[in-house]
Amino acid sequence: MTTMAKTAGRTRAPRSRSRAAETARRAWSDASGRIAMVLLAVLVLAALLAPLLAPSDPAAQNLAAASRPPSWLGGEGGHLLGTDTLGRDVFSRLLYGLRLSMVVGVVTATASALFGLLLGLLAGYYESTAGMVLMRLADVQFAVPFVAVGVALAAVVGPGVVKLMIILAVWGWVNYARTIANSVSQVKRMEFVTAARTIGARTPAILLRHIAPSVLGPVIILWSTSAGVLVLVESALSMLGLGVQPPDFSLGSMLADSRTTLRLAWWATVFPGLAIMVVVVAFNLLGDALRDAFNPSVRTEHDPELW
Amino acid sequence: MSTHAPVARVNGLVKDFRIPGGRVLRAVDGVSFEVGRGETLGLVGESGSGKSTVARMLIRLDRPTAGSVEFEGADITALRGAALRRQVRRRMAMVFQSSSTSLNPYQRVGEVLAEPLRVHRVGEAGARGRAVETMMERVGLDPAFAGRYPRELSGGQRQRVGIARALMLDPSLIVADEPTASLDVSVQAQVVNLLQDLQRDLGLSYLFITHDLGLVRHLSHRVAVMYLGRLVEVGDTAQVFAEPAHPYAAMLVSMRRQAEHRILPAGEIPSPIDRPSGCVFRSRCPIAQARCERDVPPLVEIAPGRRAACHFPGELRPGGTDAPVHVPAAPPLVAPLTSQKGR
Ligand SMILES: Nc1ncnc2c1ncn2[C@@H]1O[C@H](COP(=O)(O)OP(=O)(O)OP(=O)(O)O)[C@@H](O)[C@H]1O
Ligand code: SF4
Ligand SMILES: [Mg+2]
Repeated sequence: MTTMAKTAGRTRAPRSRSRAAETARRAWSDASGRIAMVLLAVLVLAALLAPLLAPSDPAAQNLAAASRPPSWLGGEGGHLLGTDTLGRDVFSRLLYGLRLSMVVGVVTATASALFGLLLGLLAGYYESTAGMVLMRLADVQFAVPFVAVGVALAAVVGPGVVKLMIILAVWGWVNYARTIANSVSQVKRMEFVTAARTIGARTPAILLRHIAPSVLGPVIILWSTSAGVLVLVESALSMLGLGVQPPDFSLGSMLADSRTTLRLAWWATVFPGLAIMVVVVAFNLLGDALRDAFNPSVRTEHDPELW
Repeated sequence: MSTHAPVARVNGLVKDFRIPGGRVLRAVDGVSFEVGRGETLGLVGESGSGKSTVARMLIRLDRPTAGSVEFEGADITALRGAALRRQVRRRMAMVFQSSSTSLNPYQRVGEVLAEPLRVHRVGEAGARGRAVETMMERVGLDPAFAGRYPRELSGGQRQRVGIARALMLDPSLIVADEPTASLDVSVQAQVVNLLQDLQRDLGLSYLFITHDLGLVRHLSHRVAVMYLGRLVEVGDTAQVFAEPAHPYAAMLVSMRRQAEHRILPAGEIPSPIDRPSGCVFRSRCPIAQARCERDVPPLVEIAPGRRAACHFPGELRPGGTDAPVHVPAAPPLVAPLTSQKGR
């Protein structure tokens, strides 16, 4: 009888779905999550495949074909989104600009999330030492508006997209650290952490293997939302001339370059602007969907105390 | 049992906690006892008497304010780093009260059980996997559960995982802090039987903390009674339950007798911050004398293998006889996979 139950069990009890897979499934089952994922997939593909998709060289000027409207508005030369005042193909530039903007948003958000997670783990685990110092620092940083410091700092270290990304990534820790430090200081008191200590696990393993997974939800949610915000911030700073430097360009610098000639070629301003909006909305929708996926309302199926 | 060297011994353990207001709470005050090889020492006492704190000092989670801990013949009180891992973490394990909070919710059962081996670099991955499977079978869990998360298991199954984790490194001593308190009665009996089987087969020693006097009577060879941070009586379980020497032990033991023989505690439970002078139990002791206010009664041998901390040991005797040893009626082990998911 036991054997039968076991055999039946072996086929009936496969490896449970991992948390990542489960979260993705939940996010996908949500309408706005699905829209976000599809949008982001399209955006990422467009950015990755820019060299294949772009009909022409994004930097090639052709003054003879300057300020042509989009082809579907009767513009000559078959430019899908028209040309700018220097005769460059707006669609091609949009793809390449998107590429840089996405890299800035995703890389900066990721760096900032990892940095914030690390500091949050330390601040929460070593509450009375590292935690005190870091939380004071966070208070100070919260009191100072980023635009002021960011602009001042960028002015000191000089413009440039990599410098800007570093500043943004470092500045962003504070968004993560407080939330995470609070959760960590709760989680570290839980019995499973004590259990890990009694089997001899070292502190780094306890932090990464036993505590980090419990605080990962907010990190990923914040990551998604902040990636969108960072695309926007980069655009704004590029418009101030602090971000991407020519000949490189992002969606933000496209806006900056074309806004003075809005009347001559509005399409060179409006489409990059729309693209920025789509990117921001997509990341935000994803963030919302992930928030729901990490905190499903029905979580009491098995263990009300913990779930 | 006591002729052999004990597996663990604590001497004069004291633990002070600093509490808000700059005051100090003495949670444990001069506790000494030993755990013999293959023996179960039951540790009882009301909530807040310091049982868990003693356990945490024994397994080196809390550092004693004073006193020492010996384990397998070595003084482990001040060990750190690699020596602590080798001499304590590898050889002593803990089973926790709550099966749901003592397992990492994001670790699969297989990972939970392989971790002790991984931490101490025992075997390579394949061998660890087999060891996990063997251990799961040993504690009555289907190895197919290795891929499951703790929340997908019943309370009893999770507690088996907790026990299996404690056994992975083949320890000599297991500290179990109310390991059955969060379980249903029928599941409790299964877990208790499992612990007894394991002790018999593996020669384990247990420090078993519980509030359940019936369980202590059934399970432990010797019993230690704590009150407000102090050890008030230690002795052979059957003897203590038959003829308790300390008035507090007498009260506890009388709870297992016929209603008319029960001795109910008088007075109020003192706060651990404001401990009475002299004997800590005097505010509730029916036979307290003037001397009890003045002199702290030391824990002294009152008979071979029997120690009590009272100026008048054995003078408060509960009437009647100890209830028969209650062997928990364990329903037959449910085949692991007729999954008790819904409990
Ligand atoms: N970290 C701590 N800080 C301050 N006081 C503590 C701490 N841990 C325990 N105490 C206090 O020490 C005393 C003993 O606590 P302990 O948990 O050891 O009791 P216990 O006998 O295990 O009780 P229970 O049966 O409820 O588990 C209690 O008064 C408790 O409030
Ligand atoms: S010493 Fe005195 S007060 Fe304390 S238990 Fe014994 S008789 Fe009671
Ligand atoms: Mg306790």
